[in-house]
Amino acid sequence: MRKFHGIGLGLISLASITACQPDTITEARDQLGRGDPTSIDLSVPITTDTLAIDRFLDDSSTTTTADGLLGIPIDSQSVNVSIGDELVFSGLNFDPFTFGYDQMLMTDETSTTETVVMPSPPAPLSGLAAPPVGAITFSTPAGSSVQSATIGSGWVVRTITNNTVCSATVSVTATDSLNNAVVSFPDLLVGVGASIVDSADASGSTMANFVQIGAGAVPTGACVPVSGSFVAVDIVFRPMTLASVTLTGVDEPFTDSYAALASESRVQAVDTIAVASGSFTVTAQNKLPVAMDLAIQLQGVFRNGVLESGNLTIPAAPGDGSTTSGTLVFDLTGDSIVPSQVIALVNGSAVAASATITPIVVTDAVAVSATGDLQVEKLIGSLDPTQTPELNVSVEDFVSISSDDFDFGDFEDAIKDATINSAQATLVAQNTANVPMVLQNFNMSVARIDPATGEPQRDMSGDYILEIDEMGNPLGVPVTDPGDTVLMMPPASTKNLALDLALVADRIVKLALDNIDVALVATGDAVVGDGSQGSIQRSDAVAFAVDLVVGLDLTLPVTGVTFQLNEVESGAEIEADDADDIAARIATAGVSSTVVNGTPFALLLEVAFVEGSAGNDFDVFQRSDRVELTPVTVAAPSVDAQGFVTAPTSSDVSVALTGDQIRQLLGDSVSTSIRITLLPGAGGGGRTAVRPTDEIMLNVSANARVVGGTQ
Amino acid sequence: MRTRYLAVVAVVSVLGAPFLQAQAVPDDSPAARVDAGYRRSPTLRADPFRNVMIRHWGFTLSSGGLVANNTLNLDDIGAIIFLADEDSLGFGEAIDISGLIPRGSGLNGVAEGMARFHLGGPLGGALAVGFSAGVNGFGSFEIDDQAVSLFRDGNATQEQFSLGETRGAALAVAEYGIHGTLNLKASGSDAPHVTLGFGGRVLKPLYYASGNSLLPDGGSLTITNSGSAVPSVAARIQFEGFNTPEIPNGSASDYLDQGSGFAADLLARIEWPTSGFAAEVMVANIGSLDIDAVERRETNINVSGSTFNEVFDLLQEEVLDQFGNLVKDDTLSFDVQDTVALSIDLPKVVRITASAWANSILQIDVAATAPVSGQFKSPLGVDVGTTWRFSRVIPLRFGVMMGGDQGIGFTGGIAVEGRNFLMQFYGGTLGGLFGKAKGGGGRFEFGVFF
Repeated sequence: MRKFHGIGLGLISLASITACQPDTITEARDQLGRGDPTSIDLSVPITTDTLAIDRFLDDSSTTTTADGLLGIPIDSQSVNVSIGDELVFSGLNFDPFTFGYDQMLMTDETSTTETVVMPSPPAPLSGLAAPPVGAITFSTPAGSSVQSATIGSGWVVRTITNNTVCSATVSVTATDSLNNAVVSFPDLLVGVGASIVDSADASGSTMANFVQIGAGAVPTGACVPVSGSFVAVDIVFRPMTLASVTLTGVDEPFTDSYAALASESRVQAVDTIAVASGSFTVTAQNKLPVAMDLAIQLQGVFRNGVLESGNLTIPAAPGDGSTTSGTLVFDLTGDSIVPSQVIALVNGSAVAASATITPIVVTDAVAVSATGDLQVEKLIGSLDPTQTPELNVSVEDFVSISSDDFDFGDFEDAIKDATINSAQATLVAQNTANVPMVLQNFNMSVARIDPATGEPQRDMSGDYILEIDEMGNPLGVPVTDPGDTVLMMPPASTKNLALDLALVADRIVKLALDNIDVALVATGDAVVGDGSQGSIQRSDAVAFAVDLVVGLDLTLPVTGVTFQLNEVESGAEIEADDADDIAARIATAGVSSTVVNGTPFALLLEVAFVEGSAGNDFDVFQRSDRVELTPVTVAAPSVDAQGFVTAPTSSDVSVALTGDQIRQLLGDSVSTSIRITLLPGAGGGGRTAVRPTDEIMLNVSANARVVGGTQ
Repeated sequence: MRTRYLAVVAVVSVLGAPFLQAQAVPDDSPAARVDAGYRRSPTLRADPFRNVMIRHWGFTLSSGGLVANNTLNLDDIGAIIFLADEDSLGFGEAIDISGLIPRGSGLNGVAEGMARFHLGGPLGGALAVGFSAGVNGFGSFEIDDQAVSLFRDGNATQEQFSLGETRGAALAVAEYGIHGTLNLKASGSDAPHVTLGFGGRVLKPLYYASGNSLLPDGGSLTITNSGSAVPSVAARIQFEGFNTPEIPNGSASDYLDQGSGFAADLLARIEWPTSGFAAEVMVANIGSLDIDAVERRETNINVSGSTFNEVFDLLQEEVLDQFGNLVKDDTLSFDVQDTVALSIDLPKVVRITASAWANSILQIDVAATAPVSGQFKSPLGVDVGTTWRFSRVIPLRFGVMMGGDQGIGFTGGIAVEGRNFLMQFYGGTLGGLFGKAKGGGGRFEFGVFF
């Protein structure tokens, strides 16, 4: 029953209220609007605020420059001017090496003994002769056999010893295989027991295959030698020089060495070169009509303790004095070179079945030359650029800078058309090498990035295409020691430098803001070393950490800089019916403010908006359905010649909107175009210098008249 | 002024009623045979003696309530519900509703309700007792016109605003108790009957919430801008609220254990049956209710600045003294600060009623319910009712309700008031008829007697 009570009362109440419900929203609103017309006037002081100028920027990214300007740091950049990487020895030449193969036109000394034995009496005393002894053959000192030769010079020594009891006339002959006399000896009377030595000149003689010695003895008078006694003839062919020779079983080795880099003063001044990459290319020539095998070892050039060595074979030359050649390449990657100890040890060997050798082929029969290019991994020693020109290198490096590296906030568009007058760079230069360096003609410049390579654009010469100034000169700022024309970096040192990079920063910022890929480039010459002991390796560089702060010291055109911000913002997100209702309720609304402008700019603000999103690329000012507010002008302050504010100005500004205009702001989104014209302060000739203390003071009030009740 | 006028009317009506009719009810008229308990006309307002006055053993189920405000009528509420259902209740409607709030009165409203089971009957010829159990509720709120005016009028012509008397309270209790009446009848046919009623109820709090300004003047909010040389915004507001906490997964006993209280009810009635005149004074809800743990919330703002932004910044600021002690901390959010025990004075009901019979079928009742002060503040209520007994057991009732801010209301009902059976439907609209009503009430009763 109790439940019945509650339900009963509830139903009665519900029925009463339900019976009173309207059928349409309009009826419902009319019902609630049954009251007397009301007009609610609200006038509220919203804020008295001081807008520091850096509020228009990213607070975390601003700083104060040394001269008191509001600074916007550009993200720290690192420019590593690689110097060790530039150290290259090109066109290194070995001292020339030749080897004359005279040994092939020489014979070793050779000898033989012929004995004339007296027969038993009675033997005829005349015409006694010994049978020819065996053939005498000749060979070169290396062992090659002489098949035939024309003797250029040489002597044959004869020693006759008479061991008989009779004096006798002794005759000796020497003939080759063709029975041609190789040398002629006169007959000699040799006394009893006597020994006579004489010689004969073999120059000009020819010989083929071998030489046979013949001897005969004729006793003097009636003397009858004792049977069995003899006359001995010793023939010695002294070493001969041959005018030409045909050799068989040719096997002529040689060994020689020389200081290959003795004349390369560029490297002789260096104790050790560690090679990153490179090679020596050895070229050997051969005049001999015999193939030449060469084994070359480079002492003083080693890798992991193992000396560099190599072999090559040079084909036989025609024998007419012309040459054949062969090439041997030493890959020096990872090698260490001690220039003062570089000795080329050449082992050669000419091997053939036979060969005809003439003086024309033995003179400089083997010639060796070599060239090399080295990329240095490390140099150790008394590095002296006067002795080693390679220590004078051209250097360049770059670092890409984009608009992501800085944030000018709301000033971004203004800066596109203004001139940046202040950009202080703090450079921390670090020489990583253990050797002094001097940077000459070293500039920080600007170049555009070639999208294809991702590197600065280059001209036909391979040099960076640098941005130029109005005079057509490359736009750059020299990096030097204070009061000097060069930057000297002691070994393994760090140096702090201050640089005015306004010209460079102005160009970089504008290009970057125009979405043009740009780079801060460093170019110049580096001189490595001063003759003192030191070292530099390939990774060594002069690294510059560049902290650039762009001071907001701008030169604006007298007509000002106008830029436009187009943004789609969230609206009040009120449903259409409600928004219509609100708009209908608001008779007027507005914001008014007293603006005390302490910035060096005057402002002209024009605002237009439409309801909804206008797309990605829009200009509400071009829309016919736009709501355009009355432009707001904030008067210009007075500035001094440097652009600093001297006297803030006060302006009264106000913006009024009707309900219909406000209606545009109540949807899900609103597209707004704000055209801002920054004008320079009075008295500065366009120059505007912004200090962190510059500010705008606002005293903002809002007012609205809202109507209610019966409309 | 209006309340004072009504009070005078009520007193004059009550005290003057005996002189209107001297012999209105003949001894044999139907009215003379109406049970004494039924001659005491029902009301939409609280009446703890309603059931025990029926001097027959039996039980009664009854429920009723009264709700009123001074701004929104049923059509308005229907429109609000409709717009809310359509998700179209917004800024404009808020403006319109604020425009409906009567100037000078602010927005206020009252409510009360009950549901009760009663069992009782006479003990002998003079005494009757009844036992009852049920729930009872009271509510009242007021948004002071000084607070409303900011949103209704703006600050163009008035720059200082206040919460004023803005406050509100709501209380729901479960109760059980006993009531009795003692009938004293002098000898003689025209001797007056005197009925003395007494009773007591044990109360158990079910829900309590209240809020009010802690500053005597309601604090202030000053917004000066237009026309002022120096714009400023100043707020000095201290508002306190209490509510019984929610008891997660709490059973009925958990709610009933939140505290307890006692209410006493007294009645004195004198009646001249022959003339049909009766006068009555009732004082009910004498007592208080203790609640052990009530969550206390507070907004405490004392700040001034030249702009809104400055004021908001100051509100966020904590001020410490030299020892690091917090000396100023504006509490903007209405969060729970602590839990306290509260003793709540019940909204005392003081009612003077006079009734007379104009003739044998028409009974006229005039009742004045004194205004209630305190957190359950309610205005003077003056009810004039008529009971038409064309049939003795089926009375028809019509009347008007005056007082309160909602304006004149109209009541009507029908009942079956028999010896063994009671059923009554009684309702009213306040401040107008049907959709124009700014309040309403109803009462349903069902009783069986042996």
